[in-house]
Amino acid sequence: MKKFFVSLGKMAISGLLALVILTGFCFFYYNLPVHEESKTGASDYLWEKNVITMRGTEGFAFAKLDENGYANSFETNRNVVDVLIMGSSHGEGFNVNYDKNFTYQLNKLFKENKKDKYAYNISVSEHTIVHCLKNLEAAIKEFKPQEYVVIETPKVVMESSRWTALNKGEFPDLEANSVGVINYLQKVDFFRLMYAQGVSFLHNSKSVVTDDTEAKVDLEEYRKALEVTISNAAKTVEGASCKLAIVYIRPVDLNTDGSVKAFDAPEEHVIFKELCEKYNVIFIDMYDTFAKHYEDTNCLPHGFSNTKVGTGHMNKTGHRLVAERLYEVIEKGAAK
Amino acid sequence: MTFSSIEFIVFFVIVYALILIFNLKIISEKVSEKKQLLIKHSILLLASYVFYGWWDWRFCFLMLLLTFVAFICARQIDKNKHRKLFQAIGVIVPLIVLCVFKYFNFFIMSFTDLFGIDNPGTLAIILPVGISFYTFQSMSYTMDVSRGHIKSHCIMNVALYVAFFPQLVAGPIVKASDFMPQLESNHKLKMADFREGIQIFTIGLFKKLVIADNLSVFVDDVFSKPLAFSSLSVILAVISYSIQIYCDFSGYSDMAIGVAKCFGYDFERNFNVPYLSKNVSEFWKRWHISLSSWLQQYLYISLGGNRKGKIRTYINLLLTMVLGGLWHGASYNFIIWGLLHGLALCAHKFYAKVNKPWKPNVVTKMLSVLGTYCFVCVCWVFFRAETLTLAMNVLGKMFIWTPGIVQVFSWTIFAVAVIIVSHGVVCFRKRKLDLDRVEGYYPVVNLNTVWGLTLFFVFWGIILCLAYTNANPFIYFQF
Repeated sequence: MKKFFVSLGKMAISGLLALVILTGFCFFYYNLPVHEESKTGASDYLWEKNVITMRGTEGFAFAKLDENGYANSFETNRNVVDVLIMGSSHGEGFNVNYDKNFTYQLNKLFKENKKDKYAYNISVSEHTIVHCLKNLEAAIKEFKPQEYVVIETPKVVMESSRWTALNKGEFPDLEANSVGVINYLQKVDFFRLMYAQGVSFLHNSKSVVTDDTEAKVDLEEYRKALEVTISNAAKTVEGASCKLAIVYIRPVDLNTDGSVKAFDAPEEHVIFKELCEKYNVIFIDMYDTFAKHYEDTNCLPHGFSNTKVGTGHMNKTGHRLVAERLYEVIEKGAAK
Repeated sequence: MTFSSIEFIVFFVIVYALILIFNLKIISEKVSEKKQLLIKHSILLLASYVFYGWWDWRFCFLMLLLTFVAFICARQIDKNKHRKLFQAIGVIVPLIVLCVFKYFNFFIMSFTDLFGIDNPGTLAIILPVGISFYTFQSMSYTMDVSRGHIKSHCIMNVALYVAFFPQLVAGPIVKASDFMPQLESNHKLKMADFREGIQIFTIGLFKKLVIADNLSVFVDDVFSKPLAFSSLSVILAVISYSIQIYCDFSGYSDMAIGVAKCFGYDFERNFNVPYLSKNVSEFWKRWHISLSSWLQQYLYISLGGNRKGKIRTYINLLLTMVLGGLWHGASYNFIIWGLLHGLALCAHKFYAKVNKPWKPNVVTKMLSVLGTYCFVCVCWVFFRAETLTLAMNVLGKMFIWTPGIVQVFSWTIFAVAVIIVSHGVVCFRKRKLDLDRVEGYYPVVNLNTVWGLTLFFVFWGIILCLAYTNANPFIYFQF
């Protein structure tokens, strides 16, 4: 019996020591801040304030979070926000260094060209275009953008039900997970990574049932729901004397010979574009810019040195191209 | 069920716990040794069929058929009744099974292509997982009995030998003469075996989940569209594949060796630092040792080996390697891969014969290692590419410098570093660089100490942190 307890003791001590070592490793490899609840509703949740984050699972980068819990590190004397950037993990840019995300790059372009403008980024992971539009009013109220609200999105085609839920004010918030055991567990980087790995493993282990017969979308219903969404968003932005721009960051598709695949836009995509034009929402489809850049340089805007090329989040090339394109659009708007 | 799945962990715990019951004093005293052995073997056999049936239970009957054929033939050979006839049946039946399931469609397609027939009468057959491994094992049993290496065994032992789950689906191909004697003694589960086995298993798991699976992302991408990538990226992808296949397959073998060790059974090493080989002949003594020794013992020697003159020796060598290539899969790429290795073996044999033995220095040996590695890498292109056209595209990109997407994959750098460091440790293990006598080993630690356990837990933690989670099946499952 004594032998058993000695072995158990050894295992417990070793386990603790190993946990310390692994947490040290994860500090450099997967160090994400914890979630906090957003009191204003500008985003569904925030990140921990004034901390740094390091990540090596997709790209190798470190980013900084400001006093509001958003990924901003461009230093400025300007105390108003001219361009408010909303979006998902792409806009948040945790996969590129803090000075490589497109908000930082855009601010850099403003500075280099002596424009007295400042862009502020409130993009947070998992915030799809639907989440951003849900939070639009609160975000404008909190940050009072002077010229533009830019929403970055990797996807514009959604199920009608999502738009309908948004229009009815029934679209659910994302969980902040900032209470209880989960809140404590997410403070240990190793556990957090284990959780992420576990979720990914379970997700990938599920057998994917492919259904060849695509579910038919009622395009009229789709158009109706989306029209309400876009007109509401346009009204909200107009009310704040701003313009709304949607940046669609579609990855470049390649043929097997390496040439760019032509994009066969689905009907829903065409409807989205038409409605944006109808309600004076600037729709910036990055595909052509990305494709041209690839044809000129063989560099794809998505993917990292440790992931599949052309997939996943935007890399620094993608961020730079978005910043340049945004700058161009903003400048063009100013010239008008 | 793969070794790297949660199902396997549950399965392993259940089977181990059931066998562990026989360690209890009360059981070992009351049940006779013979009965214990029978019950243990029954549990392992049942577990092996559950393990195999997890994929597709229907193929359990195929394995059962091969077991019966091997059992009956060996019994008759042992009794000296129609010896030649049963020897032939013991080899031909497994070969027919293999041909029907693995090569039938390939041969029909090749035939119809050759004669321009439009509607080939191919069959919609599912390739049973690990068929190449257990057909070879059943043949090995019959041949070992007929050669007098072992006596025929009871049906339970034969069934367990053919189906033993650690090596069932992706080897190593354990020879009957190595495994059957182990079934005769009553293995008590020992803590020391478990500690060693679990560490060997963990090393295999690291190779598979961390190195091989992460590399597969880059390799799959480049080999699916080589023309999109730059020459540098394609070369790096080929290097990555050489490491991926090594870590994938040797990782599986390590896991199999580790699991078997936990139950008290010993399997021979299947890989012995193959990329430190100085020539192709040495490579085949270090790579997939169980297959190459099987081919040498049962095919090359059966064809006459080197006993029938120089020309026949070369022909036998070439034929053995081409068939070895075809064993991996029904495609022209595997035939070319085997042919290239066969030609290199012939060339090396010829060179060794016409040149006087000489003592190369360290630099020459290192250059030989590098040259052999480069040759093996070029051959891997045929092994990996899905079609001959893609293989030629990859080779074209490798040898003609062209632009394209430049991807210096981080996992390749990591994998190369791990390989260099681990091979360096193997080389300098005896504090002196001796490339003629390098031997791979498992760096097991004493799990009775706090530092040993800490290291073990950290290693597991690192595996869990870095594992590629998009579950890739083991490459060798398809063979």
